[in-house]
Amino acid sequence: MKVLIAEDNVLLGKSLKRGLEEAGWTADWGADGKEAWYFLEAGSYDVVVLDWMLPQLSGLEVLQRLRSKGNNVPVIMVTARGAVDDRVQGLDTGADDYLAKPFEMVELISRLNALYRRSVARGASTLDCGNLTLELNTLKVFIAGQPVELTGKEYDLLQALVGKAGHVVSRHAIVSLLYPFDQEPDSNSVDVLLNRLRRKLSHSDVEIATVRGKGFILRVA
Amino acid sequence: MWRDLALNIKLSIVLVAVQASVLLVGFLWLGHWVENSRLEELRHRLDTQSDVIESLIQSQGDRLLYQRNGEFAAELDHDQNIYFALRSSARSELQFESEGPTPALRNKLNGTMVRGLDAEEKPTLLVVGYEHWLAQKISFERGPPGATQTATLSVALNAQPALDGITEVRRLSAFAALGILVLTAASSFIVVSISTRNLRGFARQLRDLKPPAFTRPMLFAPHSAEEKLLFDSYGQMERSVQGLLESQRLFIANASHELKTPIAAVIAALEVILANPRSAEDYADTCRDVLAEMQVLKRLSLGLLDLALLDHSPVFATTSTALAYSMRQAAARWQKTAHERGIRLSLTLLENHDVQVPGTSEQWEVLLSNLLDNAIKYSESGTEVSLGAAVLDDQTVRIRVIDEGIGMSLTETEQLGNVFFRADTARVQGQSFGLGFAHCQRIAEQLGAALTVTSQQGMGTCVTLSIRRVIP
Repeated sequence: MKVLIAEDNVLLGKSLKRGLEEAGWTADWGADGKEAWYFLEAGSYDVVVLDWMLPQLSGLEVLQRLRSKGNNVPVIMVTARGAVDDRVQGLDTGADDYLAKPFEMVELISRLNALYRRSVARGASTLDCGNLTLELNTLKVFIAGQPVELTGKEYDLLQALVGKAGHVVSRHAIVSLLYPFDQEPDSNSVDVLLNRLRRKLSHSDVEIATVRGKGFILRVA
Repeated sequence: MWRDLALNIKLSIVLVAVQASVLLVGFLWLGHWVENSRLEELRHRLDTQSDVIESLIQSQGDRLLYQRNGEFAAELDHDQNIYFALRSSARSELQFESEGPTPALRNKLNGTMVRGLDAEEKPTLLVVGYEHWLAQKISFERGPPGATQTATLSVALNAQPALDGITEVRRLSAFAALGILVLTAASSFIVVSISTRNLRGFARQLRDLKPPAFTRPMLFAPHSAEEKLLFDSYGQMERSVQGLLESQRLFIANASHELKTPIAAVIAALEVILANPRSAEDYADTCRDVLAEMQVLKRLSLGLLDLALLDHSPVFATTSTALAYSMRQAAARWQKTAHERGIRLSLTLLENHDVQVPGTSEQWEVLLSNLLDNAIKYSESGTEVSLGAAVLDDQTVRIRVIDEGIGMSLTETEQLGNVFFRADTARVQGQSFGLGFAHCQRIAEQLGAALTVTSQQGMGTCVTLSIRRVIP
């Protein structure tokens, strides 16, 4: 689960990044509109936390650009502009949710999870594939009802693959989803992660196959 | 009461009052004129008839007789509206009388004329029974020389038909005046009602305007120059109100952002740090970050309070300050900051160090400090910021702060007075809130100074303050 935080206040941006990372998200932080747009063009995100009044390029302009390019990543506008007209304008422009400052971290995390579920599992709290079940709220995984212990990265990888079960997911997309923008993983770290995940899922009826030169695909056996 | 009446009713009342006065005067004058004319006509007729009757009186022996045998004389003798009687002065007895009126009337007329006619040949209006008669008496002599007889001829004409005619004319003219009055009052009411209908509709729409919007599209098509003037004035006011509402809305949006964001940041930082056990260094780092954020919040809150206070603080028009002193103080205060940023700060004072300008030294301190702060903040290392003063004429002094910094576009220059506007928000994150220039503008307004800004992107900015010097 990867989130982009676009927030010009240094302390708030830093705190959101840390809080969301501790809640299981991989987070990138852009301190102005241009930087946020750069992140959005360069990486892929599951959710975007967007401040309205950003320097260089306002949050609304970033959102307009995003939607005009056909990018439907869920966006939550986090702003001090709490008037109804402002909310309507934000939602009309293409925001998926709206949170007025000041807010509680738990509420932000809860709304981000809801947005993520809506985009990945169409609003359901679980994601099922064969006898595999992913609980999106608790980040737990079950094989035929039996819990399986996964690390955060393993869970993110499995969720990315289950979310696109039957379709090839490129190595670049996996890296982009698992690691922050400023972190360059080792060349074989994705393979190590995949092998560990395959071992832990050996009792399930799903398999993760490598499509040479293309990426990886999760199929129900 | 009068002020509360509708305009159409007021105008109608005034018009009715004016018209009624004019018509009343006209009515009285017309009645008087008709009466005089008719009575004058009667008098003239009385004179003529008197002369004719007198000419028909002949002396026969010791008596005077009226020649009744002629057709004309007989006609006069039997005319019911003429009565005449002849008395001999010597015997004072009735010699003869005309036979037109009834005997009873003749008797009354005779008696009334004997009592009521004093002077000679002076027509007098007498009331006989229910009628008015115009009568006069004439004394004359008849007879051969040496045997003349003196007699008095009394002639009366029935004036009642003429007076009835006058009354009828008066009645008709009163009815006509009343009709004119009613017609003109009704038509003026209708005309004024139609003329003011548009205005009443406009007023009703204005009455329905409610806060916070205050303005909404008005359905109003002016039908006269006055209505157009009113509508144009309303349009002008509406634009001003819209502008004020928009700037208020912008101010609230910006103030919300500027105030709520640090609060949200502090809450988020504390929530995150307290969510899990941390190292002492981690806690200390967060405390330092939170403290720094609170300092920002403090500066912002105080800046906003200062601005609010400025709007309501009294203007000390009589206070003056030595310009050279204030400029030297301001330059000294910002010299260190400029030096740290590698900027050269130059100062040019007036030759006459005693020149005084309106305002307190505190106002000048805030004014010059804000201008120098902005100039240094938006300048690169290696550039120069200058603070200089010059005498424009005997009464005006010009103070200029010129920098070679990033400058501003025309749009940005126009927004400069808006609270929270910053030319480059990323550059001054946490250091500036866009309150300084708004501060300067308010102080300049209070001091009666003109504050102008010229700027070019990438070239720098020049802020000019023109103010009348205080002549001791």
